[in-house]
Amino acid sequence: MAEKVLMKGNEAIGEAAIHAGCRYYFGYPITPQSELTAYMAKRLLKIEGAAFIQAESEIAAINMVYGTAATGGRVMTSSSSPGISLKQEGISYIACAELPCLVVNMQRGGPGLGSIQPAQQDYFQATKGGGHGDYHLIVLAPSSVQELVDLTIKAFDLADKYRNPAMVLGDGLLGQMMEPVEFREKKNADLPSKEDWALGSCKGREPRKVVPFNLDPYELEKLVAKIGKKFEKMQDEVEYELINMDNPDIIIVAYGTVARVARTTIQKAKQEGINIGLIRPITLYPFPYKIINQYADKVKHILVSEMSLGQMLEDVKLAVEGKTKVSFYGRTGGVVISPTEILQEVKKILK
Amino acid sequence: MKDDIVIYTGSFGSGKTELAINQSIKAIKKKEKVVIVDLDIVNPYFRSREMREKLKELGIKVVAPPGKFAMADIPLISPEIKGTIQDSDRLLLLDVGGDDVGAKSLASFYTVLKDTGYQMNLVINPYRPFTKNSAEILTMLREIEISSRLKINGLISNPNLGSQTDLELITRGHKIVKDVSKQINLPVKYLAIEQTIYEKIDKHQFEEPIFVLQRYMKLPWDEKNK
Repeated sequence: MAEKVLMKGNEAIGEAAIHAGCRYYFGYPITPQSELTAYMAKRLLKIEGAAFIQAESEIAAINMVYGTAATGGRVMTSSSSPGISLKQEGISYIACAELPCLVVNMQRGGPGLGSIQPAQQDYFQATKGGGHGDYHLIVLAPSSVQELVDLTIKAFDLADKYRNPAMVLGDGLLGQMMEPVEFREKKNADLPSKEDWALGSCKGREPRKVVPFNLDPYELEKLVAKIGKKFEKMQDEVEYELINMDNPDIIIVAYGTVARVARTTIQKAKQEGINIGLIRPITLYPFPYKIINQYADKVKHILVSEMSLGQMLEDVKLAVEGKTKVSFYGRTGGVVISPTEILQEVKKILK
Repeated sequence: MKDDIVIYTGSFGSGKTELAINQSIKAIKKKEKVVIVDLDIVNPYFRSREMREKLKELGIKVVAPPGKFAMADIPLISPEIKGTIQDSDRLLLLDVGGDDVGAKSLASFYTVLKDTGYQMNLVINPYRPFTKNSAEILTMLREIEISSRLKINGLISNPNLGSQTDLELITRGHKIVKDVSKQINLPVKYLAIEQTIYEKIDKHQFEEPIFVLQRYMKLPWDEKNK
């Protein structure tokens, strides 16, 4: 049995990555995720054949990831909001070159330099592109330190499966808080071999190249169509959690930290005779449109709550197809929503 | 050794801030004058300055970067600290940042502290990474001493897995701390146990004094049900 350890979210991601076989980390520190960079420095430097580089910038780091991914290495980088913005060009190139890698974003208040407090203001950036061109990241949204572990491991596997960059989208609070975690024995996911595309010595075979372009528009169109097909297939990976969904008066849709807050709201509401259900998307891309659509028929009101001005809100509205009312409650700037605030909002709606 | 300057050092997340806050509240209840110095230059969240208003209401002074600077991730050390160390007639608790990196901020007060004397504790939670066994704990201890220029003269045993802590776990973790104590001949000042767990367990087996701890640094969803 695996021993439990008390870990900060950021440390837990690092250990999970190593557990998943990641041996290459390139990054540049930024609050509130620097403990991850520091953890990887401490751990990877002791593993033979592993590489840790504190790059000169976020742009350098993502391009180191690009290079390593091209050789078939399990590789990652991490940052927080403004730093993730800097990486976007590289991420788009990696998506075009169809390479797997993990990018972790422990979000902080934005826009701009923003604040160092937790936020969920990068949902659009994470799920709708971020960089240029037709691509999506696979985006996983953990809600506890244990889930940071489990979803980090899963993100590596999904990236390999689809040859597409994946993102773990957390926030500063998840990164800084401590919870007991365990590293369960690794199941060997059935993943495609990298042998037929990874760069390396070409002795005895035709040379290969990995490029993020094709100057012939018809050829590039074919490539974009191929990438598009992957996104269709990715819809099978949808994951979510349903909590207290037995005939609720209202349903909350929230992810990550806010979903955690909403769980306490559910308990508080029960004491006042209000029955609140919660749909918690675990994959933000692919988004769980179907399940939200199904419940839209059964409930009079859906409340979306995020630490933003309302970004996932747009996907929920798309899912609902106008079948029920959708409201929003959010805080920004790094202010964490409290259980009481959400309950007050629910009461206002139900009045 | 002076008893009225108490320094809390240890690895990241070993429990220094909670211990300092708890100690300050215990002392103020005994009508002592108490000052907490937040020397954490490495952690961006969960620092004792977040409790500043609450502690102030109780009559405890928190020395930390002023106003907006308190919310920044810059290594600010308040000019007030040196004066506070030289004061007498108060209990001074120094809450230091984690690891050798965090302890570095102490070195700037070396010249004052070596004259005043101090108690410097190493807070140990053997369920944290990098302090899981005596070898790792000793490395941590040495690194903190080198970077702070000060000598650790006591251990605080704080074995816990947060809400999943139980007696078996405390016993196993506490033994690791006691082994370190024997190896380097430093006393275990006390064993810290969180209150809700303390109430549930049989603690007669422990030789060391038990310090009953309340959790003050809460998470947004820990809000109590009414």
